[in-house]
Amino acid sequence: MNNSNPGKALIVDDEITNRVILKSLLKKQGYETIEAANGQEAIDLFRSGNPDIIFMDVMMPVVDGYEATRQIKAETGNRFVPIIFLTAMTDEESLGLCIEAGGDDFMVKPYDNFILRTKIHAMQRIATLNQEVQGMYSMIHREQEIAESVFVNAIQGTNISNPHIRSRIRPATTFSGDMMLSSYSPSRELFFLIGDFTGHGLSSALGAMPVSEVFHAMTSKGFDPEDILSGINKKLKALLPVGMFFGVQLVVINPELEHVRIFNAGMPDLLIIDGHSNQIIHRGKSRGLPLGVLPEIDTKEIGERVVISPNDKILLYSDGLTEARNSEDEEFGEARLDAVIAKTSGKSTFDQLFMDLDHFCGDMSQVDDVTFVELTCVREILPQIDKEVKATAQQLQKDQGKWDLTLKFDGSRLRETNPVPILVNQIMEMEQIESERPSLFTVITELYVNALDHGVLGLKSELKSDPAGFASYFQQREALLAALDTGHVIFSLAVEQESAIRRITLRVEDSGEGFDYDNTQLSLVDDTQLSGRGILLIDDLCHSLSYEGKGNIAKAIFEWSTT
Amino acid sequence: MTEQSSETLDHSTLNQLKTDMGDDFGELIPVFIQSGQEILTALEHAFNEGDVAVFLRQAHSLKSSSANLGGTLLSRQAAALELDAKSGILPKSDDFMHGLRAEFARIETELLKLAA
Repeated sequence: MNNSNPGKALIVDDEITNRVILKSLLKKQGYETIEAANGQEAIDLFRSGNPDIIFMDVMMPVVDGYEATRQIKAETGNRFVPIIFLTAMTDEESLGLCIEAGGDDFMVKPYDNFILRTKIHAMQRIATLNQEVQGMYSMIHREQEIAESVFVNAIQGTNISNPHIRSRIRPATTFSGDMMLSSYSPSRELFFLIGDFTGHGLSSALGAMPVSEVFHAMTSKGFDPEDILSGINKKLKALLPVGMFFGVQLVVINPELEHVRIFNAGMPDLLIIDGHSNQIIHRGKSRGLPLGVLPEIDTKEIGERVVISPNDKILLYSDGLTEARNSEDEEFGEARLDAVIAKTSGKSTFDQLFMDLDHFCGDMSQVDDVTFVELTCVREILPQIDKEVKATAQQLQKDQGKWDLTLKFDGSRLRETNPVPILVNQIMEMEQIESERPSLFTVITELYVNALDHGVLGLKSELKSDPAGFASYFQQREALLAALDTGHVIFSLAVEQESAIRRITLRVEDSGEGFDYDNTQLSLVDDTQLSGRGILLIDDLCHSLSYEGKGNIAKAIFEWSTT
Repeated sequence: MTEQSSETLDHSTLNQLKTDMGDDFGELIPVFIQSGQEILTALEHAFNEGDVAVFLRQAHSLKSSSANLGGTLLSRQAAALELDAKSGILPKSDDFMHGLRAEFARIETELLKLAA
């Protein structure tokens, strides 16, 4: 349709001379015309004839002009089909009725050709505008669909699926400003993060992708949660405009299920619930500003270490849950959440929570994204070491020759840096054995922690045997570490090939007193001299483990087949 | 009572129509004549039946179509009937039909002269 062929016009008038005249005028404008003598015929012809413009008389038998207009306008959908009323009545009330019924304009009889042309021209301009708007809507809709699938793949696709992780995000609109990330570290810890970007919708969700990338890159390389949060903070500080920030809760579940590390910056309380009594044993309150605000964050301030036992539950949620409103404008609130927890003693809180939330909110539309996560701290929530995988892993290995490496970290350096990811990454770069990362990481971490805690800091592991001592142990550890500027840990490793075997010989030496290893028995029952069950684990993962020197040098040999 | 214009047809209206409609103008006259006759018949019938609704609609149509063709007097006559009918009032006798038919005949004659 263009100016020389403006399309089809529907003329609705019960009086024949009116139709003849208007038909003639419209034909001269290039219109093809169809005619109806009453409102019902108009509706029928609209449906069958698909006119581009309608001229509608008001007073007609069967169905009058107002009613016909109402019905037709209800059926035009996204198309703009202008309806121009034909009226001899010029009183304001009548004209008001025309517009209220959905008419776009009116024309007074007798028809003035010039006025007719002008009004048609104006309607065509509106039609063009409407088409542009519809086009933009389609484009936006298409783009949103693409963006949504990218998001789903990039973020949700990389999370852990496990029956003991019950989680849900209910976005308020297509794009969620809330996000959820989960990953296992190489040392078999579970990292679980939920976050809430300011606002909601697409602009809020954009930050999710860089956060996800930083999180997954760093957790897979074994970085500490403090470093990961710092990394995310740096990224967001550079990325987000002023006024936008990212509230975050992070949980790191230790594979021994003795304690969890929790971090809360700008989110509601993170709840830890006793597995038997169902009491809330700890509320992890927000202890810092959300991320993306300050150039540096004090991760030590934000983090807490909480003792847990197997079967305890951890609940994480965003404020969209507690601030959800019902029709009386009341908030769901923490009290109701506590009530749900209390009444689901011994079973999962997850399903009951959503049932109660839906019941509370009723028909009210959701204003903010709602996130709720229930983690049950059992063995099965963590990855198991699969020794079978090690044996059958196919590696593209040739004899890559020998290399060795020595890294020495002084006390002051140890205060700031966890050397383990650095060392492991170096080995991975040189040897390209990604499948061995978890085992290698676990071994080196365990040896390093022993060297640092017992060798350099002089802590005794017996302290960790009960919950009070446990807390005391870590308090002491933090204090000693913060003041550390003497001592050292030296890593020296040699990598070599022997026929079809590749071997890493790693020595971890600390500046401490060592211990009498000749007379110390490694047994399942009594392993108090060496930190917990950790040494037995390494023994399992290495080819061999022994001690040298005063007992301050641990030597681990790690082998894998290159065929 | 002010003297109404006795001119049967308002030629300025007709001339404007001729200009606007061009060739199509010729079609308009027979349409008007036939339509007008049908309306007058229907009007009389409605009067005889005492049907106010139909009477009203026919009077309205007559007013409209005669105004289109410049038949100002006929249009005013029809308007008066329409106004009364809106209040539910029909004429007392069928005398009104004579006036309408007479005026219509005059219009018809002049239009046919134009068309020729």
